[in-house]
Formats: sequence, C-alpha cells, structure tokens
Amino acid sequence: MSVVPTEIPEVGATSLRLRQNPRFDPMKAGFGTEEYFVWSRFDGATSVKDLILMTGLAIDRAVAIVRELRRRGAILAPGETEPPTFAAAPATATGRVPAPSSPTATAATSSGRVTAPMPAVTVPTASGTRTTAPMAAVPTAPPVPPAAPLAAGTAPARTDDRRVATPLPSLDDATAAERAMIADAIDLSLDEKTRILAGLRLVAAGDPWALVGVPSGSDKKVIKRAFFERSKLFHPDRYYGRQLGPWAQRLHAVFDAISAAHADLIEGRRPRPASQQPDAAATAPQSPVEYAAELFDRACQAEVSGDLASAGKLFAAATKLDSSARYLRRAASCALAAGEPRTALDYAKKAAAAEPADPSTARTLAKVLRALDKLDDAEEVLVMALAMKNENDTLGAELAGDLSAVRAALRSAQRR
Amino acid sequence: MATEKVIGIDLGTTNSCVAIVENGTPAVIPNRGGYKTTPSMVAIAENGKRLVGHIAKRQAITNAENTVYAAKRLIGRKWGSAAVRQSLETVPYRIVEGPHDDVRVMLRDQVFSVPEISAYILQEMKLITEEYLGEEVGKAVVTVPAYFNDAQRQATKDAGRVAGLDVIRIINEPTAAALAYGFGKNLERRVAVYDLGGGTFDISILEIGNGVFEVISTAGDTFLGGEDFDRRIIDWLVAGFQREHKIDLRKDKMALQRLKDVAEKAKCELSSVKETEINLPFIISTGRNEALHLQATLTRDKLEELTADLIERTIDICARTLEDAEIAKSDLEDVILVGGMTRMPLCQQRVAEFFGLEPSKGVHPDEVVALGAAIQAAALTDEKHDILLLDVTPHSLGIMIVGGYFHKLIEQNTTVPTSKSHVFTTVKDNQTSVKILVLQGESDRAEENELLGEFVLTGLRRAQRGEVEIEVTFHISADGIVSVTARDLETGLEQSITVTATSGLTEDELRKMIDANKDYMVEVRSGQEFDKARHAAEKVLDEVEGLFPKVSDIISGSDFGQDAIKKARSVVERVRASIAAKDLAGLTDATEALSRTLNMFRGVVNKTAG
Repeated sequence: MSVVPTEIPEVGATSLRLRQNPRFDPMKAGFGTEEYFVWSRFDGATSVKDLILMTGLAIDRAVAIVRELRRRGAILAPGETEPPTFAAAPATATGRVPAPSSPTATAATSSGRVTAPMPAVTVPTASGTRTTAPMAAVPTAPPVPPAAPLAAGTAPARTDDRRVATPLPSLDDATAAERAMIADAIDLSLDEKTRILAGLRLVAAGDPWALVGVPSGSDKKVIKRAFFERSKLFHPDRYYGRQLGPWAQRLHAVFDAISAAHADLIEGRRPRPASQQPDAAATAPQSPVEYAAELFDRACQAEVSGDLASAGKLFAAATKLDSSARYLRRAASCALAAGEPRTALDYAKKAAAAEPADPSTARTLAKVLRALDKLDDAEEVLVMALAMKNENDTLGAELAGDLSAVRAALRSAQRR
Repeated sequence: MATEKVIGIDLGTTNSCVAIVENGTPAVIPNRGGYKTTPSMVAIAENGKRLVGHIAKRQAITNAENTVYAAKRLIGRKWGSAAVRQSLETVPYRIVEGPHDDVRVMLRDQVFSVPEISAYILQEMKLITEEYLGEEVGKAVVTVPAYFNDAQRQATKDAGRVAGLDVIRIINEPTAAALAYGFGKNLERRVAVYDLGGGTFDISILEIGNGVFEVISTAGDTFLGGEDFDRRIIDWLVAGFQREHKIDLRKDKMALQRLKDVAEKAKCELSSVKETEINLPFIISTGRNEALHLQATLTRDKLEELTADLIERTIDICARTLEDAEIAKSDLEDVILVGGMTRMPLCQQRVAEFFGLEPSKGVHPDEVVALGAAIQAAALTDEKHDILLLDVTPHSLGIMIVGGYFHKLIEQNTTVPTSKSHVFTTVKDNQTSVKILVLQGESDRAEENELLGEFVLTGLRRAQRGEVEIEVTFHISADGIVSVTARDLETGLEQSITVTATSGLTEDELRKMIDANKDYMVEVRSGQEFDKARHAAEKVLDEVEGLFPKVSDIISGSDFGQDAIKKARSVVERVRASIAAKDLAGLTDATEALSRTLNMFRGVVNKTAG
C-alpha cells in the first residue's frame, strides 16, 4: 500500500480529525513503542491521513495500528464522548473485523478549526502629523525675475516647535537648466521637482548645517529632528514605485548628502570635503527618453562587440524607461542571439502589444516563436502580418520567405 | 497602487508568521489551524507528498532524514563555512555540497537548494493569506536577522521568487519589531531591540521620532537561538537516561522526536512554572516486549544552569554593540523584547539588569516582527502612512587592495541609500588592467571577509606605477542592492557590477526552480485559474466573431487575406477546443494567439474606416 486509503474500517474517513480518549489509560494497554507513538500523535487537529503520513511508518503498519487503537477505544471520532464498541474485536492488529462503522455524523462541525480574532494591534492611522516643509514659490512660466542670490540655510528658523528644519532655498531664480529639468515628463509633481532641485542647490553649496536644515552650532537633538524632517522629504522610499528616470539619481544625491552631513554633525566629525560630495548639481538635464536612447545606443554597441550579457542588461534598462517597439524588437533579437528565447518572447510580446499592426514587430515575434518551437503560432503571426500589408516591398518578401520556412518546418515536424 | 495588497512575512528559524495592514490596522493572519505562527519546517512524506508547517513538525522525528528544520541557519551560507560544518553534525537530514560552493539538502533522493526549502515556507504563508483574504497576493516584505550578509539576504529574496512572491523589500527583524512598537504612537525616543529567536540573536539600537525610525547600530549572532536551548535540555535528558539504563536515546529516531517535542514544551512551561514533569512512556524498547519509560523533573533552576552561558553570550554582544556605537545605557529609554526565547524569566531578568530598564511589555514577541514587516509594506506602497524607515547596512563594504588587505569604502551602520567613492592607483609599471574584488565584512584581511563579486577594468594607459588613477564608487540603494563602479579618471573608461547572484544559485537554476514550482501551484488550483482564463478567452472570442464578416469582406480579395481568414478560423477553433478540454495551458496560449488576431482585425477595420 503506497497511498493512504480514504476510509479505514471502524475508523471512518481518513479526512476526519480524531483525538485521544481522555479516559483511556495507555499504561494499561500493553502498548509497544510504535503504538504509543502513533497514539501520542492524535491531537484532534490532524486528519488521520496526515497523521499516518507523518508517523513515518509503513502505511500498512500505521493503518493497522490506527485500527487497533480504535478497537481498544484509545481514540475518539469527532463528536464522540465514548468510544463505540466493536463486536468480537480480536486482540491482534492483523485480525479481520466485521462491519465497518462510520462515525461521520458530526464531522463537518468539528474540524478543530479556530479562527482567532484578527487585530492584535489597533491604532489609528498616523495622519494629522505629516510634515511638509514649506516650499518656496515655484516659477510656472519662464520669465523669472533676476532673483536674489541663493539663500541656503540663512532663512529664519521657524517658531513652530514641531518643525525644526529651516526652509529649503527658494527657486525663484531657477536657471535654464533647472527649468528644463522641471519640464521632464515623469512621475513627480511640480512641488516635488522644485523640492529636489532646491535640495540639489544645498548639495552644491556643501554646507552641512544647511543640508540638514539647522543653524550652525545647533545641538544634537535639534539636528536629529531636522534630519528626520528632511528624510521624509528626500528619502527614496517616499517615492517608492514611481518612475523617476534621471530624477532617481538626483533624489539619491540629495538624500545621500543630507545623510552624510547628519552623520558628520552628530558624530562631531569634520564634514567631508566638498569634492567627495556627489556632484549632482552638475548633472546635465536629461529626460528619461533621452537617457533610454543613450542606454539603447550603449546596448547596441555592446551587442555588436559581442558582449551579449551587458547588452542584455542595457536593453532591459533602456526598455524599462522607454518601451517603444523599436527598442523592444532589438532587445528581443539580442536576447534570442544570447540564447534566452524566453526573455526574447517577453520583449517580442510587449512590442506586439505596443504596435500590433507593425510587420517588423510581427516578424520578430514569429522568429522568437519559431526558436521556441511554437511553429503553429509563428505561422499564424506571419500570415496575419502578410494580410495586413498591402504593398509588396522587401519587408513583405521577407515575411513571405519566413512564412515558407516556417511551413516547411511544420511539414517536416508533422512527418516526424 | 494603494489597492494592491502587500503582506509582511517573518520567515523565522523555527516559526514563521504573516501579517497585513488593512484599513490602517496591522494584524497577524492565522493559519488554517487557527495558530498565528507556522513552524518553519518542510518534509517529504513517504508517498512523495510535500508537508509544510505543523504537519511537517509533528512527523519530524520519525521521518527525520526527510524533514528540514532551521533551514534559515543554512541559507546563503558557503559549504565550507563553520555554520554549515556545525549543522552537518547536528541535523538529522542530509546536507550535501551544491555546485557553487553552496549548501543543498537531500530528501528522498531529491536534492533541494536551501532557498527552495524556504520558498515552500513562504508559499505556505502566501496560501494562508490568500485563503484568509480570498484574493491573490503577489508582493511581500520579508524580514531577516539584522546581521544577515548580502548573500543571505539575496538567497531569501530568491526564495520569495521561487514561491511566486515579489519580495519588494528585505528588512531587519529588530527594525520591523521597532516599527510595530512605535506604529501609531507619537514617540520620540531611543530604544534597544533585543531579539532572541529560534536560531538567531540580534540587538539593534533605534532612534524614533516623528514617524521616522532610524537604525543607529545593529549587531548579532546568526547562530545562537532557542534551538540551542532545546538541545541543552535534550542532552541533559539523554545523559540521565544513559546513566540509568545504559541506552543512548539519540540512536532511536522516534525517541529523539519525542525528546525534542518534550524539551521544547518543558522549556516553554518553565517560563511560567518553577518545575515540570517530563514523562515519556514507552520511549524505547529493550527487545522482547518490554519498553522503558523516561521520567524526569526539570526545574527552572536546572534549566537556567544548563543555559546560562547562552544568555550571557547575548549580553556580551549587547555590551559590545553599545560600546562600538558609543551609546551609553542611560541614553536608552526602552528595551523591546522580541522572539519566543525572551519569555524565559532568566533572559528578561538579565536584560533588565544589563540595561537598567524594565523591558517593554507592549509587544507580542512572536508576532511583532511580521506586524512590522506589514507596516513597512504599507509605508512603501500606501502614501497614507506617514512612516519612514532609515535602515543601515549591517556590514562594511569595500575592495581588496595590494597585500590582501581590505579597504572599506562604506562603514557598517551607515544609513542607506548611500554612495562612497575613493581613488586608487596601479601597483605595477605598465599595468593595463585592475581587478576589483568587492567584499563585505569587518576584518582587515580580505580573505576573512565575504566576497560579493569581482570584475576587471582594462584598457588603462601604460605608465609608471601609481600614475594611473582609478576611482571606485560604491552605491547602496534603499532596497539594499549594492553596485560598484570603477572608472579610469584619465580616459573616463568605466566598468561596473551590480551585486546580485551571490545566493549560490545561478539565474538559470533559479528560473528552472520557479518553473517547477509553478507546475506545483497550477496543480493546487487549476480550477480557479481555468475559470478566469475561460472568461477572458470568451470576451476576446465575442469580439473576434463580431468583426469576422466585416474583415472577411475587406481582405478576402488577396491570397494572403484568404490565408489569414483560414488561420483566424483555426485559432478560434483552437480556443474552443481548449475550453472544451479544460486545458488551462493550451487555453492561455490559444487566447494569446486570438488576441493577436483581434488586434489584426481591429487594424484592418480601422485602416478602411480611416
């Protein structure tokens, strides 16, 4: 017997959860170690089937022991308070027993399941305490008045005792580069962009006190509070799950500088030289699309030079930022060349979703499907693509060529 | 984004726990048996069935060689490490060497990687949640001991992937505990978290204020926990029995299982009573129909005598941590106890004595870590929660320099995310390439630290030694991912790596594992999946059928058009056949083909219309 039976004579269905009879005295039963062990496993929560599996004994042996325990009245079925009596129970475990009884009447309600009450910790959501440091006015249109010089860290400390950090520098005098960055179409509000740019100005100025947002010489408690406030504004986790493109790096640079300044001030270390501060302010503004284009170029170079592994990574990064079909097709071909048809299929499918009617995309998808030995699908894709094309150009000819190759492969597969 | 549920899982050495934040309230999710924790055990029964949790635990001894417990002690470890050596001697299941100097477990002639074993536990936690919520869960925050290194964290992440969970963040257990402790309270204080779990010990110091939780310092021992206390009790029982009967109970599997059950139970009981009776009738047979019984009385004093040195080890680590972080005990305003072992009166007493503080009673030591993980999940994915965790890197990071020394770039306990750069130079004349070995650890000797990865920067200008400058930059992101870049300052040439594949599994192996496990998942609930797929297929089918006459009119003129119509018909048939055959895999594929057809149909119709 290699499978636990669904039913055991006298015991009933093996899905039942039996328990020990509290009035049964195992010491007087003349048990062996195995019988005792099996008996000790009955807890009212484990089904007989699971119990038999977990004894580690041979299944026949375990079943025989369970029957024996049942006959001796050592275990109770759900709902029973007394063990039933069995006619002519032989003393040995191997003896035959007449009619099976089925104590299943109350099985449904006694599964031993307890659904504990849920909340262990009950607390109101912490809303009302959100700290949003006051933001400087933001230029919404280019003509900006020639502004006062940068005022990082010199703004008067607020009197509100919950807020410690000094306001961030104003961006009234936003440079052309800063305005260009604000124009980036990414997952950040205007406020948030302005905030990060203001942070970058602090990084560029390099004054640790201004970075943390406290007057020079403040005590540690004030530094800590201000640091926590700044962290809430600039820690990347506060922007979790958003597509930040080049702003991710800017955000990181700001937080990193604030965090380093905080560590220096708290530990009374002399701040790190400015040269070691990330030179983030100097980063040329670059939109995610531009950055994706750059990554894509680098990926193509890597692919051409034969470094398929790096190419694959770069393609992955580029397509994440910009999922235009052109990038996805190239990424698919590269993955195919690198012997990763599944990755290729992912790309090809995405490309097909982006440009369902594009014949080049269809051709790439068909190629990948063929590599995965999905000939039927490849044929279908090619046929559809051809039906969509009315001009008989090179691409059409290529598609037709691919189609006949796939059909030939199909035929030979069928013959086999 | 806010609607997607992300769970928090405390993947413990002996027990695991899952929690979720719903309507702003974190709560632990009970398993089918009503228990809030599930044993971290996996077994393969004789019939090949995989057993996880309580059921695996109950059969652990009789099926000892096919039951894995405390897999967490092995995860991400190198085959040659001391931790693995120790496990080899103490665990009854078979540990074998993997192909990448990693550890594998052999159960019934099948070899499993350690992340795979952990994956079964994570999968169980996922299922518990899904049964409870009645919906699928795909993302989780998982906790690890604070002192886990990169390889151990990476391996835990891999386990999540195998289990079908996107582990969006790994956080430290004591940090999670602090999150749960401070959640919803407007605290401003410095606290210590003393976490003595089933297999690991951690101590962390945190600063809490205004919803921000800043880890200041963290340390621990990943090989010290409740299991060690149980073993001391078993040793004591076995020795006593041996003296009396000259029989070694360790040799008998069933006896050992029962000893283990009873040792854990006695340990727990002695947290509330002064002495307990240990009674194991029929523990072993002496041959002819005669069985011996084990009877003993274990007092709390005796237990404390047996295990006092283990507690002292934790106190030593606390002392060292405070010293290293230059924190005075008087700076601390609260001590939070985490982990089942902290119920032991001696443990509470020693902690209170050492810190000079009565430990906080406000948190449940078994559930607090999972609750904290759920809170971090909510803080990340739901903007309603005004909570921020400032975590640190538990180990220093750096590179190997000439002479085999370790040069640190990022010190331990630095807040992440962070970046650090340092300029290095060549060591030989005309040296045209440098090899960067990325290491993690605290030793000055490179070889005593953990190697995370290596890469080579080539194409350097031929010059005298020391002339060419190479800038190495380390970057740790908020989710703990380490990347390293080396740049030739003269040419701007760059080479970099992202440290990822250090869990002892190659990407390929991992993918295979995910696939194998997927099959298993489909088996469990193909019914639901199929209904969903059929629903989706029928929707596409309706639209295609609707467009058919129009499209036929337009394209049937050309040869290709006729081909396409024939093909479209056959795709429709394929979908119908898969529905009839209840073939989920086939239906998924066929529906995909049908969607392509639909796209083409739409394209054709639009083209003519426009």
